[in-house]
Amino acid sequence: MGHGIENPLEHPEVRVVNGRGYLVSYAVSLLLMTLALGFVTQPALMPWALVGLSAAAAVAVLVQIILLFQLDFSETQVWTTVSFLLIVPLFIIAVGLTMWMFNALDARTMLAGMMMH
Amino acid sequence: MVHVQGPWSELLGRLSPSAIPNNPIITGAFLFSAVIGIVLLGYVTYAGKWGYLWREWLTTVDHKKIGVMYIIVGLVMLFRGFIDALMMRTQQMLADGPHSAGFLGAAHGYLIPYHFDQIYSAHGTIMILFAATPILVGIMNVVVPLQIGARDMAFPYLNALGLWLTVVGAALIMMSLFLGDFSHAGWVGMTPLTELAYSPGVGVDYWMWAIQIASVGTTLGAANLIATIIKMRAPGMTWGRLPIFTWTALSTNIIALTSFPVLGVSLALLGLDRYFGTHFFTAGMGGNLMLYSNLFWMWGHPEVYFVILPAFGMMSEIIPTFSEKALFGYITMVAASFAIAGVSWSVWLHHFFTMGASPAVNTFFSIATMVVGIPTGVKVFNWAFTIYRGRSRFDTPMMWAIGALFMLLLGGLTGMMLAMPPINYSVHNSVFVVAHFHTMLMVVIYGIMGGVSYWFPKVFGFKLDETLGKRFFWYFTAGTIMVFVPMYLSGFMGMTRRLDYLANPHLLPFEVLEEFGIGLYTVSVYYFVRQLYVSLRDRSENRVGANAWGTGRTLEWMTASPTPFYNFAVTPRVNARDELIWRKEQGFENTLPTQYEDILMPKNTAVPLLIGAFSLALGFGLVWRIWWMTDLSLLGVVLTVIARSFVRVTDYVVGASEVEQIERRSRTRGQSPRPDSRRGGMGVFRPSRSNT
Repeated sequence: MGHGIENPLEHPEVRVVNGRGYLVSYAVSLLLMTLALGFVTQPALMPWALVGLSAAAAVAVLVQIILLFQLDFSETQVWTTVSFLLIVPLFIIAVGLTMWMFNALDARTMLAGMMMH
Repeated sequence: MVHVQGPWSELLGRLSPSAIPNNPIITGAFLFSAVIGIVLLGYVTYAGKWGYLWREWLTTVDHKKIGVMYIIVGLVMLFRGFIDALMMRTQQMLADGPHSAGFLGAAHGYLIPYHFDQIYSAHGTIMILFAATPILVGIMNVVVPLQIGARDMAFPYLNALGLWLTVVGAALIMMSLFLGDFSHAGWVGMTPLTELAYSPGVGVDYWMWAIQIASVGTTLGAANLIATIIKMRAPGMTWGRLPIFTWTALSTNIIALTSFPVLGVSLALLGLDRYFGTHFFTAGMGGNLMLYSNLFWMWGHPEVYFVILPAFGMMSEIIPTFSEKALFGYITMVAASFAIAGVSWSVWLHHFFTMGASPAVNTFFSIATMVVGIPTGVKVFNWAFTIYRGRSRFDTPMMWAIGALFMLLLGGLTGMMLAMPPINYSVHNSVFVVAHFHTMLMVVIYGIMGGVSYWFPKVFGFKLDETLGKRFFWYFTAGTIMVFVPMYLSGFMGMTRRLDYLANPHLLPFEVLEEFGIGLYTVSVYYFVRQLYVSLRDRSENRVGANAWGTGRTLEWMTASPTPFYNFAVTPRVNARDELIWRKEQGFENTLPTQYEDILMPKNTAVPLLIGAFSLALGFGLVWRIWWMTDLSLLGVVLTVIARSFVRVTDYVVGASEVEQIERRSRTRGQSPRPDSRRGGMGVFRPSRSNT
């Protein structure tokens, strides 16, 4: 296909990658995952643990988006960034509506009772 | 790792001679498939076509050939799904009331319940994921690059990979017919029935891995089509000039890319339950079986729109062509497509209104579902206004498009009924719901049949036979009415779905009518096959030029039929939304390029086929729990991908003089038929002597 630049290493998407960003994002992700593991190994998942878990996940996503994938609004990356931003409404719809539904559902079906005993 | 029932060995996993079903129906099906397979392989060997098959088809990265292969796989699976439907209709007609006779070991009818359950599960899985989806992906593959003036897809190698992964899924389902059994838990996979405790066999595993592997292919294909539409448009092809089918392809693939991963995750969690003994969807132990329904339909509903939007796109191309008018309300049509895509993410709960969610939740999803009627209504009116005061011609594609409109009306209105939770509570799980979604899927099938007959001459260079095509249309339509109207009625009378035995003998008249309807469908299948045969035989009489229907509007009708492998000799510069019409008006229609340029095209590669073969082994090993096979084939996939990344030269150059020659040949062929003009557009249909 005529993609203009023959050498894949000269593609702008490849050029933005750098070793420092990769290593830093790897280290931060590792740290956050360890933290998340610490949260979920609590005997009972407390509400604050869920908040901490979500925060750790959000920070991990941001670090990888910025340092690893180098997403921004430059001409090279703008479409990738736009497709990433599409996650936000989808996340709110999929996870938000599901939580709303199950919150009411557990109280209305026998499942909640079954899980308690 | 969970221990499974029955024997297991290191070498063969759960595979043993007892895995071969002992059932006269399956033996018959096996003999039928074996004979067809031997005849096909024998023909390829006898005619010395292996090299040709390998070079031109199996290793190709040409988007048109990949598209054609997608459509062939889809049509084969459509036939398989149709046979399943025929068997179900016959069972329900025979097994009515306590006095109905039993055959072949069944108490009533001729199918034992376990076998019947597998048939409806296979029917649903096949029709949605291995018939409708591949055919639509195939049509998008063929048409989108042509419509936007590209030479191929953005990632030709990835495109071929998507095809072969889909083929692997289809192959696994076909294997399950003759080796082991298929899932009996419905195409949706009803939890906790799909759990190992209730389905200890390999059926659910076949279902799960077939979908899982094929859905990877669909996801890759979606990314590819989106990238193609965004990045590969010809100069001048602004967003406002993008053909409407390409717009729907874009919206539908955005849905695919965002929703298929959800399916992958929910099936992977089910896999963890079945293979590692976790409790995601179990009835107890902290599992939540409702979570599965939630996750499945979070993919399932967008998938419904994934199949309907391209059908809408095809109708939007066919209707203007045969009304000889520009599409009415282009901008609202695009907006409606994206509105439908957008709403598709927030309606999934209407598949389980009766689960017990609170009235507020049900109301929200009910309203969201009804909102879909607004953009769909916009589309219906746009099509009607396009036809209004146009010069309408009723060629076969137009018949299918208008048929789809009527199906949409019937399916849409019953959908509005089902969108109301109170109605849903009384007809949930009845055949009324089955009739509704079949009417909706008929929109897709009508769109597909219209699209196939519309673009067939573009790909192959000759038209399909009109008389037989119309006969196919009318028998198919009569069959649709005869099957689904009685199904709506019996649904209102309270007949539940998935019944292998009908306790109420008063339902018998409906079942007899439906059996008559499926008979009409069978006749229509005969006419479809006959249409293909006659069209191939008489192809020299049905040859067409670039503008096959004479009133094409978009870019694809500007290049020769059959389209050369590089699509356009010179990349066209686009000036208007209906470019071909614009050029006709300006008198540029027959202008030839003054000079040709070298063209860079992707090289053939066997890598996607090889990855497909490894994936098939991986899927088979996972189903039968043959761990050495899974390990080796997974390693094979990874090493092949790595090895491919070292291949530096993936393109080749077609010289300008060669392009000029090909173009000149195709022009002279279009003007005066040769003496030996009983030749098809593609080598595969030529007698071997003249295949030079």
